[in-house]
Amino acid sequence: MPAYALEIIVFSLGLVLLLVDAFAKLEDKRSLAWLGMLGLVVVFGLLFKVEPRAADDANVFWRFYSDSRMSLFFKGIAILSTILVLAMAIDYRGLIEKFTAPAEKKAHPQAGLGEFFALPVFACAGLMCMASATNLVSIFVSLEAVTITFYVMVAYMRRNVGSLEAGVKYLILGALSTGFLVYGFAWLYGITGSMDLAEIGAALKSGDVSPTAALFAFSLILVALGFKVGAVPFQMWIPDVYQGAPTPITAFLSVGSKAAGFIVLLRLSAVFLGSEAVAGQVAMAFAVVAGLTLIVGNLTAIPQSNFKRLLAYSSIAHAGFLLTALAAAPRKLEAGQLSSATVVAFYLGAYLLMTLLAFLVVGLVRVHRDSEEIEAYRGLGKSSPFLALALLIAMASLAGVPLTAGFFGKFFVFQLAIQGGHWWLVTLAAIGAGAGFYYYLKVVAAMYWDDPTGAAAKAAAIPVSALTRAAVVTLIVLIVIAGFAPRMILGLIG
Amino acid sequence: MIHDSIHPACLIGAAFLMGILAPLISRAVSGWVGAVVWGAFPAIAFGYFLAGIPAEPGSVWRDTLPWLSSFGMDWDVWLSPLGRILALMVTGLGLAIALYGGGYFKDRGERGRFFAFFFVFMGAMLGLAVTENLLVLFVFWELTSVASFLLIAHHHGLDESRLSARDALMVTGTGGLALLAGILLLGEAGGSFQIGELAEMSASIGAHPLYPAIFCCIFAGAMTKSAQVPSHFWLPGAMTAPAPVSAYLHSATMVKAGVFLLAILHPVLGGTAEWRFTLLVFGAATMTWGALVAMAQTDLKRLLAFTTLSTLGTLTMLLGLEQTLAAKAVAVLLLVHALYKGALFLVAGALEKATGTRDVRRLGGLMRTMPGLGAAAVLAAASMSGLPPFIGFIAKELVFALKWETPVVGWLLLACGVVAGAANIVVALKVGVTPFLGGGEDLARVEKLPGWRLWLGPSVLGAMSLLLGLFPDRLLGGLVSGAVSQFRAEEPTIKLALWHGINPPLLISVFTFMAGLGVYLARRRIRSTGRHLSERVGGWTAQQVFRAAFQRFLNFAGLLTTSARNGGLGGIVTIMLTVAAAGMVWALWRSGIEGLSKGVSPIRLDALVAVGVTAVAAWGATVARDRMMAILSLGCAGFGLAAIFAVFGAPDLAITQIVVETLTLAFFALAIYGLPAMMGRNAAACLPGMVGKNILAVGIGVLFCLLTLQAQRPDLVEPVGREIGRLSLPEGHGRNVVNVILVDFRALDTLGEVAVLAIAALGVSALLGSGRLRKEGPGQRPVRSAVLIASARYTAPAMVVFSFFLLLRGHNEPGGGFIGGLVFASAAMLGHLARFDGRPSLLRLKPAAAILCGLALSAVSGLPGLTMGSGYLKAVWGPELFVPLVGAVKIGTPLLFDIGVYLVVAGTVLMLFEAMVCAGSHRGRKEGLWT
Repeated sequence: MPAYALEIIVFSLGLVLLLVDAFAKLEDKRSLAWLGMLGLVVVFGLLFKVEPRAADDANVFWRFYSDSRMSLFFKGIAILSTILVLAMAIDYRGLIEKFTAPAEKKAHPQAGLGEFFALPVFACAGLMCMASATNLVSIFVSLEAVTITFYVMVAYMRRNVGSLEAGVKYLILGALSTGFLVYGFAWLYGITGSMDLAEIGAALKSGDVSPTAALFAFSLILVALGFKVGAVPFQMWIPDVYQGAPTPITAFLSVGSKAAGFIVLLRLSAVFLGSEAVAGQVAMAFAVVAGLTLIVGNLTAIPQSNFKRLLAYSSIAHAGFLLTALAAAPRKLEAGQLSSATVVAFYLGAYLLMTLLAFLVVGLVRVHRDSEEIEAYRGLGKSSPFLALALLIAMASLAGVPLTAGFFGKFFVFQLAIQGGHWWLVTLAAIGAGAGFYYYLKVVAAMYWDDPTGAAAKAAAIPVSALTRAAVVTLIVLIVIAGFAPRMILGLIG
Repeated sequence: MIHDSIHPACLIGAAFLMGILAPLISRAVSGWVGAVVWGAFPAIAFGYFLAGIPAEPGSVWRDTLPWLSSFGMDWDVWLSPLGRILALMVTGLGLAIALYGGGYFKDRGERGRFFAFFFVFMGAMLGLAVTENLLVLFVFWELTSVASFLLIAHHHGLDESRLSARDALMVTGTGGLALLAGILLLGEAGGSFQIGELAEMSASIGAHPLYPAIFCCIFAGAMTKSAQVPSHFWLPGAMTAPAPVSAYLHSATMVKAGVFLLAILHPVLGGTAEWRFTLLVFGAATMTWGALVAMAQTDLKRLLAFTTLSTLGTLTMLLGLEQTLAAKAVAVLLLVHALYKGALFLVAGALEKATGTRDVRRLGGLMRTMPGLGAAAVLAAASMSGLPPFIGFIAKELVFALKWETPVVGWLLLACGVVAGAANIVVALKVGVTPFLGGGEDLARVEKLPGWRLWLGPSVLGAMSLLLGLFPDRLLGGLVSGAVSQFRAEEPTIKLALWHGINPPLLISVFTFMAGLGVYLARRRIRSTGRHLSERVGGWTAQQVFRAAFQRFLNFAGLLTTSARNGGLGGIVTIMLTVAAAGMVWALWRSGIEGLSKGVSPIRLDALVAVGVTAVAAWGATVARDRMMAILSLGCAGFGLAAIFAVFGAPDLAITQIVVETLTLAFFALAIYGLPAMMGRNAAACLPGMVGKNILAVGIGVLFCLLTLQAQRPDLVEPVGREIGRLSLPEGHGRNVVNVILVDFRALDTLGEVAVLAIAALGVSALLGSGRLRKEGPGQRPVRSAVLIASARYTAPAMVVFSFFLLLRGHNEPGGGFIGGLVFASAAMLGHLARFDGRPSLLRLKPAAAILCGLALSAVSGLPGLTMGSGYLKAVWGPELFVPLVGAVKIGTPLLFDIGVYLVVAGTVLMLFEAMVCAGSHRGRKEGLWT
């Protein structure tokens, strides 16, 4: 089947969930999540059955749609993270119910849960479209599909002030950044007369286009996408929004939304970097943003005492490494050298595994210990050794300890930066990675070295459902495999 | 050979496996059985590395395990002579430690933890020893740092223990990153990561412009690992670890990794002036500093730790020399030091276990109670002092003999060597002799005699020192000449001998011994002056400097955190605008803003009025403190914008803008229903903030204005849309270009956008708490204006008809599904607000159903095109139909599509409205606002 059928299936799956929710009068709405996961697992399998575009296929889809290996890889990221987000949402449903249950006494306590399970599926469809979009309009439409869904999901716990605040912030700033994006697109369209990235790229390359106008477009787009991926100085919304949003949504935001932002950034930056006239300036702008993001992201993570917030800052820090890969994009690829797109894709794949693993544990601890502070993790190594081990591996990988997925992510970035001779970026990245060791291991030390205080001292082990256990084990295995054999992931990227 | 049947990689894998299983084993076995189980692996591995030492020194066993070939990251395994020496130290000492650890840790859990990290560390060290590929070597390098961190923090309940572990990790970890950078650079310069291949390129690498950077990075890695001044402080700090850890990691094996790395890279990077100078300076500094500080210590383990520093300095310095003799000395000293220092650390641990103290001043006369331990201590101390016939003597003679081989540095070497040698003697006497043979007052009592396992290991190590000293050439000749051949291209004949006759080195040895003895005898007097000399420079130890600097770094991070999150929304918006503006100013600055006037059209009065209204209204919205006023001003600005659209010939946009503004106004009114009428003063609205923001606002305005003018430049921007305009009628059968684009040319994007709209509606209603409007009971009727009711009665139905009109004519005239849907929704809302008594409400239409039907209709309207072969959503046209009022309407799939859009838009707006009214009525009922 052609690749675009997958998006149609996922979108239909979302509709099916809604219809089932509306008409089946489910007593326990968890089955919706199960249904969603099941459907997505099938779609994930279909991902490997996608037939490449036939040469004579004149279908309208291909005008704005790419089915390259890279696109499929990002689709895989979207599907996988959605599946895990739904799994997390099942564990998290108690809190959602608590903050969304209708005021009436008679109402079903899970009245607000159906949409919470359906919205991620729609977001997934949007993310998948974005992975393939090669046309300004389709990029914009899919970006909107994702962002609007996220506005709702972030604010979903409507009786929780933090979640509401996060939602409002995200909405207003997100709308502003979308405005910048559209304005930037308008400039691109204006100067090249095309919405198609390939044609835009060719026009920019030909040199007939004014470099000034191209740089206008680039500045506007950089602001908008910098906001999406959490690059400094547009990162300020991240800590509040991440902390306020329901944990599964935070995980989704930090993985899915970031991956989507980066694939758009990759596509658009390739267009600009291909033009002799502006490539230098564009690369320099990326380098400045990357350097700032590396330093600010990593250093501001150090003093955090709330684990969820720490992960928010860590997501900024990782954006710094990803941007470094973009800034160090080689002009001409030598044999055996990884392109910066491949490095970014690999990094995001690794980031997906370790971040979702961390958030899985954060969600469980939040539900059962009612806290997201690092304090609450004290003694977890004794009381819940399984979860502690999972978090240990997630932290090690985030820090970039060898033989984990995160190590190779950082390694490839370093290699790219050194090959490109970006010395000060390499230095900043090294400082950042060092700081990372410090703040990630802080959590590990709390789990294994500190004795629990207060109520946590008597707390029983956190129960882990079979589904969560399976998800955790899968993620651990994947992290370790990617740490030993990164070729497997690279092979998928192509 | 054994290496061909059992691959070294298997051994490393087995070590890691032991590490994983250690907690389980620890629970299962103890005593004799435990000793056998723990010792089995190191013993086997020791034998493995001892077996098959090649007869001729030059030949090296090599194998490549393919891993990540395209990144040059294959696991190239080699059994180089130096690697063999390291592996033998790791496994041989490992055996002693494994025996010792079984007796040292009584608690099973604790023992399990120790052995888990111990075996992981052992595997990593063996990996380091047998790996030729630098990238893979780096992986093992980092693993040893992590394992060391975990082992130092063994007593993690103690703050000092944790701090030391942190220091060690930070120092060696940062060094590790530098090493990685150096390796990657070396790969750039040499085109390979394999040491053998790099060594062949050594001439070109030495001349490469990157060489200084490569060398600095790699040396930084080696220097932090091998604790060279000034990064040495982590090593004495690491003495908070249990004795077996100190003996193993921090004297014999891990700290040698840096020296080992320099040694195996000598053929690649060595021989340059940078190399010689750096290694000599750092080596000499560490050698002297460690020795001087060591003499003033009183703690058993710190005494040993500082002499370890001194020896590491010696090794580094020797690596900076080019002579064959230096290579020989390095190989011998590596082994010798591991033997005696490992033994003495184990003795120190046993003494602490037995007496509860590590203070040498409180230890004495223990030979009678612990003869086995005492014998081990004396043997090791003799080797450390460099007495014949121990192997330590040979090592010392080799170092002194170098003085006569090196013309310039010889004196430096000699001076440092004498100081280091004397310190070794002092420490050997203090640790190895005083506790057993010395006397004193206030001695600690023996509380518990150490078991056999605590003295067996050190005794064997001590005996080995003697044995190797007696038969140096037979036992060590092969290994050492191999190691020397690894440095030198030619293969010199190496002979090790204890006795060379009476020669200058011997005389210096005697002098050194006398000096050391003198210091030892005068130790009580020297200690008081030595205190001042100790670790402090200007009142600070290196550790304190590091910790203070680290704290500064943390403070800086804290400062950055607080400053990076100032302000809420306003601050973030300001930053985004500023950066965007800066980017554009930068672009403008690059090209200049000439030619601005070229494209400016004549100024029109109607446009000017519209712009003025918009500007005033927008300004009013920002200063209004009454909520309703703010919303109305915003609405005004929107209508002004619509007027601008209309003036410049975009009627479609204008109509849409007007309807959207109206609906937005209505929604705003519903939303602020329960809020206080007046807005509080913004905290950020103080004068300086306001001034700044106003400047920014004006600046951004001017800038965007410039941009718009730029966009008029014909040379910069080609007018677009002409092509589409040309195609609109012949291919799209419509005169309204906007509509043709929406429903035909880019119908797929519109479909996506419509889907997004539906999702948004769904999300909002979910957020507001879904629920349908209930019939209002008596006493719950909201207050309604009579004018509204009267006017709505006639306007609402008319608007519904108008919306159909808009929908049908949209393809040729301003209008279309989107606007039609909005108008229909407005009509329905109006109808609801002014509910006609007894008449069916227009809200009978279920919004959700409308959205679903609309989506389905739009999606299905694409199918005819697909079946006709022209592709999904390609238009298929039918006959023309005459509709009253509207005129001729061409029937076709785009019309169907547009009807779908109409339904989705109408449904979405109504769904939002319903959700908001619902939420409002709940709230209203609670607060008694509804009558």
